[in-house]
Amino acid sequence: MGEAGRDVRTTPRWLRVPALLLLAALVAYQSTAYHFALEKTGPAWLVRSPYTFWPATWQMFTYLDKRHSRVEVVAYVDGEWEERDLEALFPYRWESGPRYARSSFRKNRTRMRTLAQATCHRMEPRPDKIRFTLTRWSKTIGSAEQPKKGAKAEPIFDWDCDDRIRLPRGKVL
Amino acid sequence: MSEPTTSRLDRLFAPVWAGPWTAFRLAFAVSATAALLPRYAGIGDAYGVQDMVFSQRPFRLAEKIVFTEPTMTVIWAAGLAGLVLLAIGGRLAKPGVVIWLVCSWLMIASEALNIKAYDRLLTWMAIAMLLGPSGERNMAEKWRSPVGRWFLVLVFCAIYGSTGWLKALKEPAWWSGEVLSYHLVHQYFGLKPLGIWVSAQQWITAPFGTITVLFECAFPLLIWFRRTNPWMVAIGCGMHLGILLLMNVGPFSYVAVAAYPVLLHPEFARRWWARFEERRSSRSTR
Repeated sequence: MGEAGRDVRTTPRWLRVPALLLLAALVAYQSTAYHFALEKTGPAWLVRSPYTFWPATWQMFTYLDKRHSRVEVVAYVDGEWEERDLEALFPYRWESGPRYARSSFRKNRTRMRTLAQATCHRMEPRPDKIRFTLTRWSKTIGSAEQPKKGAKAEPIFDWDCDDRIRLPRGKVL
Repeated sequence: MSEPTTSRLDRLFAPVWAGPWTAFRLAFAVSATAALLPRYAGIGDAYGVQDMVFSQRPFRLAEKIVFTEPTMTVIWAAGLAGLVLLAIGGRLAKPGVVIWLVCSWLMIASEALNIKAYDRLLTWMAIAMLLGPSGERNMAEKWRSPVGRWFLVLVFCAIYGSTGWLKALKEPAWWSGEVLSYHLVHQYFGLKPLGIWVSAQQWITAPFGTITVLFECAFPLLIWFRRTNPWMVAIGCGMHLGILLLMNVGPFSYVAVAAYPVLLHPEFARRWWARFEERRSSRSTR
């Protein structure tokens, strides 16, 4: 208890300098993360370890994006290409969309291979091969409907369902 | 240590009113629960899934262990139990935070793809919770070390400052409100009824875009001064309320606002609380 019957307590003297050092380290870490967020290409060590500053990278809704983009899939079954609903195959979604929605996902070949083989695995009947496409179209301001005006679809990944992949713990899918 | 340094440190570490920590503890428990509960639906298709397993930097957990659905359900439930301990308060509050932290990151690291901004923010806030007097009861009667609050304020300075200055320096379309308009009709984050309407109203998006950038850029400086601190807290609450009404960003708004009681200047918060108590007691004696 401190003065006037108040319950008063603070950091013990021996802990004050370490506490200030901790706060200084926090400021240094966050500031460096911000510094490199502004750079298009960082130093070599950062390119090798791009996640060094990821916990303190706060780029949220920063840039203008006038287009929608969506990953879709077609399956080759009995000699014909058929459209399939990818979101129904992988139903769980975040505010940011399905698991595979982010651009960093589709730019990574290992991730796309895993998605492709899981897609073959989940489809009934099992297709011979599948093709992922990226469809991009303009956003429509002020409208709940977002018609695919001027939509452009480009193939981004082809996969033969007879191929196999090895998951991280060694399971073959 | 020399006498002047010691007395300077004594002044710097002077205890501050700890009342806001109770509000922070409860609001944190609620918002972290709001982030954790919906994840139950994703256990089968994301956290405990067996065919879409990833091991990528920074998460290589799947090379060591791939959790099954039942195990992941137990981890999820343990995380929830940790939040209950935190909400109850007392000696088990901080262990509750640690349990929740471990369970949440086991889930996130198993999924290894979708780590949200609110996951990282909750983690920084949890560290502040561990540094601050979060577990104690009757905080309105106590004065405690300012270190936990400093940590939290610095984290929010980094978040707002970083995102604000990136917008100010890298994207001129923020000033005209154009960026805001297009984000409001994003196929996943947007398309809320009110957001759709606002997206076409430039007389709203232009000032909102400008105020957002100005607020985020100014926050790291103005939050520290007693006179400007309440204004920053009020504008920040308004901004997060706007995000909540106009966009679909999950529990991000609740999570951010949960820290606001501690961001408020302790002296201002104490006066506000004293006035509230005074009114309550005069009403009860009438």
